[in-house]
Amino acid sequence: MGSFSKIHSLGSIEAYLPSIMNNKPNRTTENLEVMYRHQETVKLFASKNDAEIWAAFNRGDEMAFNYLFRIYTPLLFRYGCQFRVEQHLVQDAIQNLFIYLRRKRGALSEVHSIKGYLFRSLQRELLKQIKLDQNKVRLGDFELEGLFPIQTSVENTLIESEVTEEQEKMLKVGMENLTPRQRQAILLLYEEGMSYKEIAEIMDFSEAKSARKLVYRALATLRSLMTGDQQKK
Amino acid sequence: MNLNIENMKYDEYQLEDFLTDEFFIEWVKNPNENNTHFWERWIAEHSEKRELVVQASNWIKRFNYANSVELSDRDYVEIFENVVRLEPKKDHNHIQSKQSIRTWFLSFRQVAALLVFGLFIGWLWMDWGSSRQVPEKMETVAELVKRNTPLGAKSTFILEDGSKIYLNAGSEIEFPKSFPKEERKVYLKGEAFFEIKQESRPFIVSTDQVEVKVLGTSFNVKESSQGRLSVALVSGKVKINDRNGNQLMLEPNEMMTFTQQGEFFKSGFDPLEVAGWKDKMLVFKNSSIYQVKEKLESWYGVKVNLRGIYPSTWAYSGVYQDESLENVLQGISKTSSIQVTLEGKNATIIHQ
Repeated sequence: MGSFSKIHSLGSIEAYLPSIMNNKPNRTTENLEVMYRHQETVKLFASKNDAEIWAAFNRGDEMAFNYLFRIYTPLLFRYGCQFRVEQHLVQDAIQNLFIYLRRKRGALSEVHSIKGYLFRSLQRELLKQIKLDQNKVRLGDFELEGLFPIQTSVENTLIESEVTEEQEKMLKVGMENLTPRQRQAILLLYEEGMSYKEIAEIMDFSEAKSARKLVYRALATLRSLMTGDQQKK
Repeated sequence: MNLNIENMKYDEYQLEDFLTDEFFIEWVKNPNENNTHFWERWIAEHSEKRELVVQASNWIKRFNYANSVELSDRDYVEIFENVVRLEPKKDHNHIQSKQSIRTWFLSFRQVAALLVFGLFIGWLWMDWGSSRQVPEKMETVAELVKRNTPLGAKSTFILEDGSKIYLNAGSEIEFPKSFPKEERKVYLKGEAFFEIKQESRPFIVSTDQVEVKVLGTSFNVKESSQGRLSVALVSGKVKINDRNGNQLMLEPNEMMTFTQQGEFFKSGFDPLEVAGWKDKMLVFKNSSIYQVKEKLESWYGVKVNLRGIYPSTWAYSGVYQDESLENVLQGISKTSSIQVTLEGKNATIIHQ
């Protein structure tokens, strides 16, 4: 590290160099290095189950921490951004969450789904931050309305050629008419690949069954909307 | 048995049932050997349900985050650094536990003190035990790890001691999984840039021709295709031992070049030209057409064909950072009366 800046000061370069050399030296190289180091830990832990990884983290294994950070930070960020809060607030919440977890190392309880646990914790942290910010942000703006928007992509439906433009429109409308909690459950199920058990934990259902019921009803509504349209034609 | 019951369950499935079935969703989103085997067989046995299955899998795939924001690398690293930096010091916990002990009953205090003492002894014993084990382990591990890069690719990695190695295209390096306690030795073929973490064990780069020995420093080692080897020192100090028993020292900004015949000479060097590659800087400095060809072939992993007659005065200088081959070729053609064509992995340079 730092060698790039050394190279820069050695002269004879400026003569034929474009402006790139004026960039702050090495920031990107350093970033790459952190990313790379984290990527390396993936090989170490990818074959282990969540309970083992969590136990290693709890023991103070820094590699395990790097692995958790590498895998879950991007996912947490995307999930946190569904709560219609500013991105930097989401980043702060992720930061606080990891600081808290590191502080509690040695005393953390067993975790069987790291993703579920982290998502749930981030959600709590986010809501806490939003309440702290109450004076700055009108809390009325933060209602569940409009959270977890879903996009329906057409790319994957090429095989299903009979899907008409009109149906597509209907689906879009249907999607907007789902409740935010229904959309949240659908996204956790499909986009995050979570089990009903994990979803139930995140969404405060006492049973996994309830999470499935929520999704089931949402999809049934959507389908009736779609097939109803088909019959009309 | 269980599988049969599962099979029967699926027979009566409607669209919503498939859509909410965890095992079905797993197959659509993350197909693996297990679920693919099951569902492909199931569909084969239930061809009448095929359409329904296709429909269900399309539905599952089309639900996406509408605002799918990505965390930038910069923010990622910033969060990471903050998390690691803001970690409270270990003493913090001790103070807390002391305070809570004070509130206990007197007799409990003594018990607690005994416990703490016991824990301390236990910790000492464990620490002693583990520190004894580590060197034993290290001596038994002499397993070598090999890294290589094909033409057209570079790689960077950090060794166990924190030293960083940039491996240029078409190069290979071998090192032990964990270094023994007396030295850190790696074996290099091709070209690499080293940023060595300073510590008591010397770091040695061994090539066919020489051994370069350093403590903490950054330098470039390059074996060219003509059998020349050069060691260029950016910072620190290096000692080079060649196969003929000569020992040479290098100062920063000095480069030592060894010919195939074992002759060597010292010179200065342009650090950008020599080591810029590690920062993805493709540098030509008064390069002949043959040097340009060789560099492009190695950098991009393509074949470069030369057409026409090039005068001996033909030379090219230019710097590109992380540019596509197309842009580099275009850049060269702009300033040096040549024409270029690129078809897949074949580039042709024609002198007009």
